[in-house]
Amino acid sequence: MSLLQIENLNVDFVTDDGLVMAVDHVKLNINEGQVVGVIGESGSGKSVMALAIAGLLSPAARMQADLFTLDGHDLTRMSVAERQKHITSNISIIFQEPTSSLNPALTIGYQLDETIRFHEGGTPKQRRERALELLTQVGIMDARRRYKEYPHQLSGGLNQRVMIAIALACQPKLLIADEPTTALDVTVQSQILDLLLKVKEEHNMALMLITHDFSILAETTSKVHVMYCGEIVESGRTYNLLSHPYHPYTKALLDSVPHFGMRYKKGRRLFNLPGSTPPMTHLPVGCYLGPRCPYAGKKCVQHPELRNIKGRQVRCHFPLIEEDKS
Amino acid sequence: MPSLLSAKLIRKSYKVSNNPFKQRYLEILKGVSFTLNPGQTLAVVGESGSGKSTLARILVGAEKPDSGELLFEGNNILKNSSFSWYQNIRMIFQNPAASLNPRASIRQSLEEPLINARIGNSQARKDRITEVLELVGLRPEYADRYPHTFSGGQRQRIAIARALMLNPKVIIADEPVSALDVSVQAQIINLLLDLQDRLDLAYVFISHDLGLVQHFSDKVLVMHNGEQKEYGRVGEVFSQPQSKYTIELLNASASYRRALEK
Amino acid sequence: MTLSNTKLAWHVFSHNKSAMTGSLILLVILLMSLVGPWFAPHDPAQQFGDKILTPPLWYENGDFVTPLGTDDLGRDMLSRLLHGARLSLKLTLMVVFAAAFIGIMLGAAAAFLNSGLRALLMRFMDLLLSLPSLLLAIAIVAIIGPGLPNAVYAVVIVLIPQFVKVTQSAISEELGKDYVMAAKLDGAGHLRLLLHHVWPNIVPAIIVQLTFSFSTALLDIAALGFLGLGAQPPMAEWGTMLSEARAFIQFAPWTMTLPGLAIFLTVLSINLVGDGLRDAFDPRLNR
Repeated sequence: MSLLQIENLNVDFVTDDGLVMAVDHVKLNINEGQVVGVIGESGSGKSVMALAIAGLLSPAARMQADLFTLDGHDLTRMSVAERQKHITSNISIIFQEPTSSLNPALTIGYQLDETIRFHEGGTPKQRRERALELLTQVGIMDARRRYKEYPHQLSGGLNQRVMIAIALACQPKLLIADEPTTALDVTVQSQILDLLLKVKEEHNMALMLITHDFSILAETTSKVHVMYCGEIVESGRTYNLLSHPYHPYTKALLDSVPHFGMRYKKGRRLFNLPGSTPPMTHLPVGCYLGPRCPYAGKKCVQHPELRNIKGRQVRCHFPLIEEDKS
Repeated sequence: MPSLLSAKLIRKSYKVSNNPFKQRYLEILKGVSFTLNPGQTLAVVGESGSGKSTLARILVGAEKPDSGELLFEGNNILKNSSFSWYQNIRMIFQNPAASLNPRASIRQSLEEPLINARIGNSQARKDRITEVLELVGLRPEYADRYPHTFSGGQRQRIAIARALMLNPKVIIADEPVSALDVSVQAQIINLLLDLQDRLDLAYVFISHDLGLVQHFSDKVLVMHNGEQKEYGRVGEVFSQPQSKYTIELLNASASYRRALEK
Repeated sequence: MTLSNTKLAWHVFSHNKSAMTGSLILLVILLMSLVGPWFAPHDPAQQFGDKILTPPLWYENGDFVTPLGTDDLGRDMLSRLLHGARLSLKLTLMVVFAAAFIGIMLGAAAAFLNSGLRALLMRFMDLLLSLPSLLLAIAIVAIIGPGLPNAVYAVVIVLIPQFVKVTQSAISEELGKDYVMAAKLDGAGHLRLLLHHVWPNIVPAIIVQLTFSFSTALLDIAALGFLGLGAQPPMAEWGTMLSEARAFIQFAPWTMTLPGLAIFLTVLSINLVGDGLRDAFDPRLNR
């Protein structure tokens, strides 16, 4: 059953250099218990989209959606206060920098307790029991000791576990993880990813994983959305998308980074797009990837629509389907 | 013939307490050794706190190790005070925006090593700047612009140009692409490979990304908490890792391959 | 766009309305202090015995000979204000530049000193900063004796610590940055590093400190004059004028409001310019 359904989500900001469409007609569907990946570079709008879904946009941003249902309720018909309440009781979000997401002046226990008090209530003793239970669930060994400690006494990996515990305390149906492992070391990264998948199973949540790194999505997600300049340019089942990208940008993201374990000849040049991501205030005419795209043709001066190709959504005039056969 | 650059049991520790009666030292490097030949790439792999950045600073002469030898073309350069590091061993930083002086034009930044080495007159320096900018794929007109007008990838090209000004033999690259956008990373990696082919450069490539290391390097040095866990040819280390830590690191990075083999 | 940083800063500054207003007022005041004394209708010390406490023109019995009125000794207010402008601004400039020079030298030295000596110097500066600047100036004048030269020395001493702190912290901050490391690895020596690489990056911080010191210096000099510890009568100095006039505030308010207004406008315009400069040099704008 569909948990989150969004159609034509727009988020824009007014900046000194003009209007910026940070999220442009995004369509998103997350089923209960599903793991969905969103991949894009800095400035692709992936984080703004996450904030928009979690109801955490800054007041300067304007948000619009044709359809926005969460857990069967239509959020577009709710008042602001109702919507906020419904979102906070169903969606939790964790960020890239766990250490700066936690208040450095308060203990881990206090911050966890605050969330539990807000969402579940209970006597102080019950809340403490619950907090220790959550800390144990996210794999913190000596929960009793950590409960009394401050964020700076914990490593980045442990702090991210605490963030996950706090997110779980809200008993969300959807957990959004925005670059949850980017700031962490490689070995800790895989532990945190494993943990996210574990708690997702245990709590029967859906998980939305936002990242710029395909190798993180490869093993965890069932479906991936690729974002560029605020738009979704390709979405589809993870395996198909990874093995045969249709959109040139997806191919570039995949091939511009050598993946560990793939056999490369030493010195082989990597596939790359020339130039860099255009600033959101000065997007090119037509296809946003056009000026950088090696496959671009005359048609690309028209902005491509999202098309359905073999069960996948692709925003490209020249999808790379021929390569599929060879 | 001696190798281009070789390190023998480099050790380094820092004083962590200022109390004169209770001095405590933290060992950052516990004996690191390697050799590097022209045109080769040595990857240094490790997580934060492994000592890889300290090793980089020692290799470019920004810090002196407590003990150990560093041989450049057979000379112990730690003992040789007349060795000018900056003409032979250069560094590329992780964050190109921070490594360029925001108030200096690109020309001023690129000129700096030439002026310090007292090479050429102003026309010769100008020609050299044009030449090197073209070498790294930038237009010569860019020389009179300021760093904030460039994108991250362009800035890293400028940083590479600065490293190349004096025709060095070794370049230490400290996570040169990890601050860049994914689609730009490949441009820089390809550029570094092109330059290596053309100029027979040796790289010491510091990275946490095993995929990149495997693609880019000949040898790999795995470090953990200042210890040298493993050192050898990339193919051998990655296919038959000997230390427990290397195995752990490889497993953590293998998810992509596993996913495609499913 | 290939704007240099200076041009970019000017672009930001010139689009800042309050900063431009401040600059305009400051420019007028500076012009007045430069050429004013030549245009002053009378000698500032000349006493018109028959015109004691003549009100300015906009009062009923104003007089064209003394357009801004006269004080209790019949001296022309306009002439005194114009001469006072030159004196006040000259003193302020001298004081600020002397303090800036000494302070920057000490601050630069502190940034390169070993930690023990630096701590000693900086804690002494903290000690000086912990006292209100005026109180410290009064204390110094009380020790070395009243009079204009001593008041000037006192204000110089009072202003030095801020320059030391700003310079030292700016240099220390810059020294930790990658580009300094890069320049070091380019083979630059200590002196070249400091003058060629670090200095241009700390100039904005120092310019901003300069403007704020201008207003402090102007106010402190005037305040010392007002307290009778600085410029002595019959010198036309704004603070001294205020002090002399305070007996007449009720029946001849112009004798006090006019020098007060002059001080107020000058300090306000300097502060506006200072705020504008701080915004213009804000590194966050160097996108």
